Amino acid sequence: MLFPPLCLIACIIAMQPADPPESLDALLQGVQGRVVKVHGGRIGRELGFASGVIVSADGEVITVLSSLLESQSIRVVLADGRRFVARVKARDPRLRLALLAIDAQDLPYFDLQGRAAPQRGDWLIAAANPFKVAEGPEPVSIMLGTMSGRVELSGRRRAQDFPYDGEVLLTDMLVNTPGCAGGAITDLDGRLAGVIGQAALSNLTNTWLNYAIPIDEVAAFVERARSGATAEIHAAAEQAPSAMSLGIRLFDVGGRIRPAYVERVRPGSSAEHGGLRADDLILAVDERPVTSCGDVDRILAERSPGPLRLTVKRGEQVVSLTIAVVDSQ
Amino acid sequence: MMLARLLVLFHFGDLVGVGPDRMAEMRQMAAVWKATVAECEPWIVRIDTVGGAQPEPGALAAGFRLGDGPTTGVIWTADGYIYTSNFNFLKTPPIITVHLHDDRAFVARLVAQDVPAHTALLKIDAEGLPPAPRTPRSALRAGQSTCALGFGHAGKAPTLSIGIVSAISRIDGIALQTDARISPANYGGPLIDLQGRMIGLCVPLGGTGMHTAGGAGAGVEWYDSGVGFAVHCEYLEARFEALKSGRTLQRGDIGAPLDAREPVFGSPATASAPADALPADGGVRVIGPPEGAAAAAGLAEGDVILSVNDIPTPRFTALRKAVARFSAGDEVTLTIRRGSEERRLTVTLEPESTPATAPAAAESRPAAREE
Repeated sequence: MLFPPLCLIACIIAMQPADPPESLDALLQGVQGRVVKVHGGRIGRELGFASGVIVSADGEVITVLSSLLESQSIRVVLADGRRFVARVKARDPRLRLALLAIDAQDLPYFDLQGRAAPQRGDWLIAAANPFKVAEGPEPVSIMLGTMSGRVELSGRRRAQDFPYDGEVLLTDMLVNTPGCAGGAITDLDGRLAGVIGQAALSNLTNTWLNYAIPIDEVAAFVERARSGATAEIHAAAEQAPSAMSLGIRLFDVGGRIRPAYVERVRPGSSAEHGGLRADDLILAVDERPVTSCGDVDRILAERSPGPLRLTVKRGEQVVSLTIAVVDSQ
Repeated sequence: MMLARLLVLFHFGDLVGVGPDRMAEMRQMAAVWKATVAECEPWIVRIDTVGGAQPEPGALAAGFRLGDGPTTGVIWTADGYIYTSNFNFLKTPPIITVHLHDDRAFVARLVAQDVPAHTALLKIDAEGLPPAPRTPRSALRAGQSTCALGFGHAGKAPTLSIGIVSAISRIDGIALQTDARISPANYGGPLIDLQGRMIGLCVPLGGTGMHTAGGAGAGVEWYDSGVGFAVHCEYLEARFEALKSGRTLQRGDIGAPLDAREPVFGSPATASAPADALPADGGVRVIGPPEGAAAAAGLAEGDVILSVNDIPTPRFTALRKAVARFSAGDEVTLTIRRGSEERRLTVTLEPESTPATAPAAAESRPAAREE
């Protein structure tokens, strides 16, 4: 009674294409096979578990830089249940990622050169181990959702600024739950688009972010690690212009939020030539919003050279100005 | 029978919906959304504020602090009225600016707020703006695909979340419910349909502010939870003229103690009838002496309210839903039954008598957060 349908099923399975993944089923199996469960020591409020992404056939695994890595025995558990002891090969304190090495061969892995670049509105697949629900030979959990957009990360973690402030992928999947960090975000072709970041609170919305470190940053980190270079903290900008050097004195009364009112413009300065006047309120620098005096110097320090665009409120008008930035001030 | 079904599925190469057809369908959906979102961007604006302070305790869920980032609004009229959420002005910022899709920026004036709906109206000095196209409420269907957009993450373009319409009538009928992620990242922004029309305005609702006068931020504790709300465009349109005139809209109250019990049907399990069993009365009974405007209008204890502005009110929830269409200060016509007579009375709604109370400690979030 059951035999003919089983025959049919067997025929169908045999006929499914193996690669590239044309079916969602095959795609997801491939993704799950490349994501691992990471376990380490539990210290204080930090979790002792996370997710990891296999990035080479001989056992390199990207995971989140968390205190579980300080454990004497870090264990990586593959989708088929095999457990390996892992050692930390490199750390990136800026990205909050680490590169582990396990003694394995011929593992399925995500090709870091296959740079997936999903756009806002595209499907994303998340593969991670939230709440460590996947144990032993159980594959990690799959989520399907949307690429919400790419934005610069402005975040914090336990009252400290999150060290990475570059571009991140945002998604509407819940990937900030305990254990997700270090997991994979892929596009609908199964190519790695990002690694789920360590849980961070947005400074802009004060909500927990669902985000991933983009593949470009991850690949650059692995390159540095493989070539033996130590992970670098983002180098401080050298001799970047400041509000003062441009001739702008801001009315800084102290406190956490100080609107960037211009108290004085130095005669003969770039700012004066550009048309800035006292009592202007700086709303944006290079279209980046300014809510506090501190934002102005921070944006000036990070920007690339070139004329500066200021958006100011003057009375009831919004005015755009261009300030030439000259090297020697 | 099973064989026939398997043959059909075999033909489409997909036994359980994870085959190539599913992938093709997903890619098609993504392409449609990408094109649709691009068409909507001209009428979605970024709002930046400068200054202000964290609000009084009670305005927000316990433990929630406001962020520093930009917020979102939608262009409602060509001459520069912009609808947004009053959540975005909880800091009472002295300076509000609006940034349009074509890069023009304007100083904005906060015209008025609609307190129960958590919306607000801004005005900028502009002309010829593209107003948001709207879908009539009657066209909405639970299960339809929807997308929420907002500037809260400060990118050049709004970020989005895709979900479905979970329910069409919520919060006394003024809002729809969606599982698209609604949060400060898109409060004040639109919920759109696949045609690129606005179906609602994303706002914090539910949570501690479900039926009581919670603060403007009540409901934020449900952010990104899969339970989100957007105020219907029809409601926004109905309130527009009142807000435009500068009137702050509050929840209205008839001003008389009413029997809030609902009729209960079915026979009781025990011999004694349950305390809340109520024979279906066809209306809502006034159970105490009316005050203020209601008393002046002639409403009396014992009257049974049958309709509000000809909207039938057979039970308390229907009356509350009918009154939710109006605001304190509006005049409504009550049809009441007194004894065997029916009468019509005109009553001016009072501001809600229950003062806003600090919301209780925030409900636990659906998912724990790594700390």
